[in-house]
Amino acid sequence: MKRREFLQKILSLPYNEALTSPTVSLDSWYPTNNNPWDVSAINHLYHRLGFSATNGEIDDALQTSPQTIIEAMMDDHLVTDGMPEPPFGWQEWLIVPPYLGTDYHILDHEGDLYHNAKIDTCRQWAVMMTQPQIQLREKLTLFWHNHFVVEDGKIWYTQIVFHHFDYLRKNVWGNFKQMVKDITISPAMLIYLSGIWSEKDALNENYGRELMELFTMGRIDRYGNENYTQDDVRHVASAVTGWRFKFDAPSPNVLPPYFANYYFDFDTKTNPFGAPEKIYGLDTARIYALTSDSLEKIEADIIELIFEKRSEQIAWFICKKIYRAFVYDDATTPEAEQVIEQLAQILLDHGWELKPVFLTLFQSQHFFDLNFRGSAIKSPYEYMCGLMRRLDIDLTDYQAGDFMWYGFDTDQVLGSPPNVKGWQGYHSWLNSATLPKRNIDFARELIINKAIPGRLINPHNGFTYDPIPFTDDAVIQWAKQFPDYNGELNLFATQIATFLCAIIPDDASILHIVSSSGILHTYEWASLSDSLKVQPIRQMLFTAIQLPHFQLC
Amino acid sequence: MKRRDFLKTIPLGAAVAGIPFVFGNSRASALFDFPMQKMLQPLQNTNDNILVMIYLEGGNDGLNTVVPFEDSLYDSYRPTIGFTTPDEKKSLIFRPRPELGMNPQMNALQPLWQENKLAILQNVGNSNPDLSHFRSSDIWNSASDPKLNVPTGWAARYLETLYPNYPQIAPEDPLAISIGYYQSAAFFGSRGLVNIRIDDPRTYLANATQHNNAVPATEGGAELAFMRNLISLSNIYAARFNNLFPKFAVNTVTYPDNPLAQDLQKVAWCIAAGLKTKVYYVHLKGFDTHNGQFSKDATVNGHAKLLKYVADAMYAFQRDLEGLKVDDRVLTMTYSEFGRRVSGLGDRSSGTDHGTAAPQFLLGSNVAGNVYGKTPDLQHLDANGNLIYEFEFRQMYSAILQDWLGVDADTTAALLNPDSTSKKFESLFPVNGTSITQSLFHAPLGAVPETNSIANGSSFVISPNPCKDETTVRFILHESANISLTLYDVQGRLVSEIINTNFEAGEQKIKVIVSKFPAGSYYFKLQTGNDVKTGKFISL
Repeated sequence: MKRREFLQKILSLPYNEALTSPTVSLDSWYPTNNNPWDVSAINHLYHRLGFSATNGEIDDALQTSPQTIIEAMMDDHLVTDGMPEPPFGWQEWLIVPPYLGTDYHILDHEGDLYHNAKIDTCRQWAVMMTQPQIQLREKLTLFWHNHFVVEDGKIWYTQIVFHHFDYLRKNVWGNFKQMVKDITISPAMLIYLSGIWSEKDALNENYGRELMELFTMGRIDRYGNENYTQDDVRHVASAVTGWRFKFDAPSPNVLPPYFANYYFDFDTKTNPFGAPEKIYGLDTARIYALTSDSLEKIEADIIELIFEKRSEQIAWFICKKIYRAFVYDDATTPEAEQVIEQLAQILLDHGWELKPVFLTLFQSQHFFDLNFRGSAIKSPYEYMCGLMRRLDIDLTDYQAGDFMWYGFDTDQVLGSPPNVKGWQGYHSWLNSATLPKRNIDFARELIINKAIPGRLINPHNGFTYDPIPFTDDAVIQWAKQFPDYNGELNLFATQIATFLCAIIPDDASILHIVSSSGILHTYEWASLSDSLKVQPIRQMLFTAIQLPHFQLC
Repeated sequence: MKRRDFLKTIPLGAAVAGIPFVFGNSRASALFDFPMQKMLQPLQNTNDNILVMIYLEGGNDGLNTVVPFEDSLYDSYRPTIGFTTPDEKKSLIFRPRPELGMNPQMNALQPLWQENKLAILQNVGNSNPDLSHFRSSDIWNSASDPKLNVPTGWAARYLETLYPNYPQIAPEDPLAISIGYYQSAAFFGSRGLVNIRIDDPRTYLANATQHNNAVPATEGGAELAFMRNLISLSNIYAARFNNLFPKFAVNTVTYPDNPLAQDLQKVAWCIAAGLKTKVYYVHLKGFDTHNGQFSKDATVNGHAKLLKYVADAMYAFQRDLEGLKVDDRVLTMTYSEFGRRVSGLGDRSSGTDHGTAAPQFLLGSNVAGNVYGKTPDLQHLDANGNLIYEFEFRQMYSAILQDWLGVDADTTAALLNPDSTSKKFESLFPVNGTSITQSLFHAPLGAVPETNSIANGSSFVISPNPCKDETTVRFILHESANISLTLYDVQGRLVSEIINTNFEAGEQKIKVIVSKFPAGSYYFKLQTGNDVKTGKFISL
C-alpha cells in the first residue's frame, strides 16, 4: 500500500469535532465526514466484536461496509457448523471417576489427566479466538461463559465443562429464555450450583438464588425495588429440584440430565412472585423423568413464570449486561439508559431472541459513536489473542498451552472465573500486579526476547516450553505492510501506533517510540537494510505496546 | 457528575495532528492529575499501627467454626454436618468457653488464645441481612447503614482522611496493599482505588515510562487517564519496593504451605521492611459450602480444610511478627459476608445455605483476648431460620478505627455512617443486645511517633488503658501551646474539665484520677487551638 493511501485510512481521526454526548440512536450507522469508515472505526468493530483486526482485515474492511462485516460475523451457519471437536485424548478423560464431593479429589495419574484435559480445552479455545470469521462467536461465548458462570475446579469432569462451552457456543445469539431453561438442567450447572444435591427434604437454595440474582433479573430492578423475596428463592429452588445427570454416558457429547421424581415435592403448592398457588416445576421434567409418577401434578413451568412475572426486569438486566460488555462499562448515564431501554424493548418484542438485539446494537450509530473508541479495557485474552492477530502470528494448539499460564498470571483462566458472578472486568483487569505481567512477561518475551535460543521453563509447573515464534523474517514481513517501512521513521512509528492503538497516541508518545529504536540519525532509516531494521522495529513495537493506549480497546 | 460531564466542561486544548486534546484544568485534575514524586509525603496524622484484613470469601459457617456444642438444638439442627456424637464433642479440645469448642482444625490458635492474643467477637451481623453474597459483601465493605447503597468502601474513606488529595498527593508508601487477585470494594475511594495490588513484593515491577499528556475529551480519554494514573503510581511504588528489596523475604518462622499463609508471609515481609502502609488485605475463597462441607475432615477439600488454612496461617503470621518484633503494631482481623443457615441441608447435601451472623476473630499482641458476646441463640431464629445478630458489624470497625487506628469518635461516626443524616457517635449504633464496653486492645493508640506532635495534629496516648483509679495522658509538643483536656462519657456528656493551661515544648504527661467517676467508657478531648483530638479509655 502506498503511503498516501495509508494516510487516507487514518486521515480523519476521532475527536475532530467539539465534544458532544453520545448519540442515543440505534439506527444503522453510516459513515459521515466527521465519523468516517476509517482505521479507527474498523479497529473499534474488531476490538469489540472480535479479538483485534489484522492489517489485512483492515484493508479488506475498507472495501466493504460495517453492516456487511457484522452480518457475516453473525451468519447462522457459524453456530451450526464448524463446532470444535472435543480435544485430543477425550476418551481418556472418562477414566476420571465421579467423586461424591464438591471437589475433584483425584490421584496423581488422574490428576494429570484432568489437568491436561483442562489445558486442552483452554488452548483449543485460545486458538479459536485468533481465527477469522468466528471471532464474534467466540467473543460471545466468552460473554456467556461470564454470565452463566461455572468454575471447572468444582466440576470433576472436564468433558462436562466442554459440554457447557459447546452449548454456549451453539446458542450465542439464540433465545435467552430457552438458554435459561437449558442451563437450569445442564450437568455443569447442576453440579456447580448444587442442583444434584437438592431434594424436597433438603432443599438447596444455591441455584434458585443465583438464577434470579445473577442469570436473569438481578436482586433489584432499575428503580431499586427488590425483584424477589427469600420466599421466592425457596419456591424457585423447590421447583427446580430433583434433577440429576448420568455419569456413565457412552458419548462425551451426550450427558443427559434426568428428572428423579422421588426427589421432587409433588404435594406442596407455592405462589412465587404472588402467582396463583400451584405445583411449579419444569416442563422438561416430562421429557427427562425417570418414571411417569406424579408428573401430571406439575401444573406450570417455573422459568415461564419468571419470564412472565419479571419480563421487564429481565430484559433490562440482560441488556444492561450486554451494553456494559460491548459498549461501555458505565451504563448509568442517561444516554446509556435510553439505549438499554430500547434494547430491552427489542428483546421483549422478539420473544427473547437475542440476535435482533445484538445485530441492532452492533450496527448502530450509538455503537460507532466516537466517544466510545478505546473506552474498554482489554481482558487478558483480548490482549494475548489480539496481539497474535495484530502481529500476524499463527497461534498453534501447542503454543496456546502457555496462554493458560499467562492468563493465570493476569487473572483470567478460561473455565475458572473467580466466583459465580464472573470476572469483574473493566478496571479490575489492570493493576500494579497484572500490567507488568502483560507487558514484561508476555509482550517482551514475544517481541524482544525472541533472540534468546533454547527452551524456556514455565515457573508454574516446571515444564519446558518453546516460545511463540516471532522470527526476524516475520518481523520484517509484518513491518513491510506499513508504507514508511522504507520511508520516514517518525511516520513509520505513527503508522504502527495508529494500527495498534484504539486511541491514537499523542506526538510525545510517537517521539518516545522513535527514540526507543536506538537510531540516532533518523534520516538513515530509509537506507537501512532489513537485517539492520529488525532490532529497531522490535524495540519500537515493544514501546508502542507498552503505551497505556494499547491496553484500551 | 459523570466523568464525561467533567470533561465536557473543559475547553478543547491545542490540536495535535488535527486532533483536539484536553489538557487538565482544575476540575479535571480532581480526577485525572497524576501523582508526581515530589508530591509524595510521609504518612501523617496517625499512629503507626497496622491493620491486616483477612476476607473469608463465600460466607464462613460460624456455627462449625466456634461450635456451641453443649446446645442440644445444635445437635438436632445439624445431625450430619455438626459435632454431635460424644466422640466428636470430645474432639473439641480448644474451648474458649466451657460451652464453646473451636473446630479442631483451628487448634493451632490455642497457644495464642492462652497468651490472650485472640479475641472472638460473637454473632457479628447487621440489622438488614441479605442472603446475596454480593449484596452482603457490599454491606461489609461499604460499612454504611445496611439499608443504604454506598459506593465507597470504609477502608478507603478512612485512608482518604489521611490523604485527602490522594492520588495526586500520595504517601511515599502505598496507603493499602492487597495481595492476590481479589479487589475488595473496601478500597473503592471517592476518586478510584486507594490500594495497590502486588503478587510478590520481591518481584514488583515498574511499567514503561510514559508521558502524562492530554487525553481526548471522550469516554475513551477518561480510560486513558485511568491507565496513566495507574502506571504513574505503580512506577513510583515499584521504585520504592526495589529499594526495599534486600529487606524482603526475611521471616522468623516457616510458613505452612497453604495459600493464605503464603500471602500473609508476604505481608510480614512488607511490614518488616518498614513500609508505612496502614492496611493490608488478603483473601481465601471457598467458604460457600452448599454441599461437600466436610466440617471435620481436613484431608478433603471442604470447610475443615479451609479452617485449618486460616488457623495455621494466622498462627504462623503472628509468631513471625513476634520474631520480627513488629507484633505490637499489627492487628489481624477476619471477616466474611455472612455465616450460614443454622439447619444443615441433610445427608445428601452435607452443606449449608446462606445465613447471617457469625463470629469474627481479632488477633494481635495488643488484642485483649476474650470471647465477646453471647453463645449463639439457636432458639430464637429469624423467619428464614438464621441467627439474629448481636454485634452490628460496624461496632467491630468502630473499635478498630478508634482504639487501634486512633481515629476520633466523631470522625469514626462519620466514616461508618456515610450518606446518613445522623452522624453523632452516641446515636450511631442501635445496639441489638450487647455493646462492646471493654477496649479490645491493651495499647490502643500505639506509640506516638517522635516527629508527630499535637500542634501538628497527631494523636495522644492514654495509658494504662483500661485503667483502675488513675491513668496518664501523654503527648509531645514541639512548641509551647495552650492545652485543654476535658473528659466526656459515652453519651457525649461533659464529665469533668481536667486542665486548661499553657504547656512547654517537649513530652508532657497529665495524670488523671478517675476513681471518683463510675466505671465505664470515657473520652478524653484534647484541644490545642482549633485542633481537637479525642481518645477513648475504659475505667475499671
